[in-house]
Amino acid sequence: MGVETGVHADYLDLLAAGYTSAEWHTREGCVRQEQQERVRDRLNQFLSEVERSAFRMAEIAVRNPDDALDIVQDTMIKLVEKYAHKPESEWRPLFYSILRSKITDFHRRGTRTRKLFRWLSEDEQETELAAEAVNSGPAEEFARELTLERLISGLQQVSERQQQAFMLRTWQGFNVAETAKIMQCTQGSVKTHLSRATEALLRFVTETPDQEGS
Amino acid sequence: MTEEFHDKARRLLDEHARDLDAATLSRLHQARNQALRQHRPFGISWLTGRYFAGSAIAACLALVTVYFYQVQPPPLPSIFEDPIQQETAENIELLDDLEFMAWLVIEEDVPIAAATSS
Repeated sequence: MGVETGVHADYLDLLAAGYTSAEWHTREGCVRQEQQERVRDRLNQFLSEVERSAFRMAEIAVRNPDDALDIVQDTMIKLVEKYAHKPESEWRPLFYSILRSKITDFHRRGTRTRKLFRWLSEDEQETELAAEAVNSGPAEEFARELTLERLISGLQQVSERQQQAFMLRTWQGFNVAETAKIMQCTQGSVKTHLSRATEALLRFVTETPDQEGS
Repeated sequence: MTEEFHDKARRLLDEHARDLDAATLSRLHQARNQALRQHRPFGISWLTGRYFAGSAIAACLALVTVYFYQVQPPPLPSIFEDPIQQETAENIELLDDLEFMAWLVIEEDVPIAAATSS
């Protein structure tokens, strides 16, 4: 909207200065081509910065690298198609908002499929880590016991919303307001999800034996 | 306590994101290029858009006008039974050749006269 207003004013100024409409369009076309190339370069740089963490976030959520790649690609395409015109400062929250939405859609499709074929197989009860209060111990102990494998296993055990809140707040560094906007929930819900995710993960870390056999 | 836990989790996940195999990186690169190919010019100025739209509409109206209101010369009535004579009569250049037209008339009457005399 702001770009279009500026273009309109520029057009009128040039007409008033004696330029013809054709001259204005030629000049405008060159300017726009340069702008498009700059935006494309900025988009390329932005996507190269976020693609790794986006892939890992999707992979932890869907537990399949191929599905995760598809989700990341769909997210990139949608951002470029629909939101490339937005200010660059909005690209990151928009990207993760789209990513979260794609992951949620993936889970919903899986849930529908499982419900459809539930009568063919035994019911699979997905166990979710209980976010019970953890006896506070030395912080260093928790940090020491936390390995990547335990962290990923724990994240895959918590609920989808708790996982998203933990990933967006703790890993990606979004504040509460940004996270609430990405997750399309209230700020209070974000805090609750994060708190429960943290408690569940701490409990999982302390109670799950180390797979590396330390 | 949670701060240390979160810091450790963040470092582990950052390391996990950096540690990607070449095949996955290649696929991510392809995905990024595929997405960038979808980049279309955004925010086409309202003036440019309306310029082209208006030109297209004007061109269509002009074509419709020319098609429906193009003046056609009315066809000449068929006054000759012989199609060659009718075509000759419609030929403006031949109409100027009165001697030729007179010859045609005479030639038409000769077979009739020959038929009536015999």
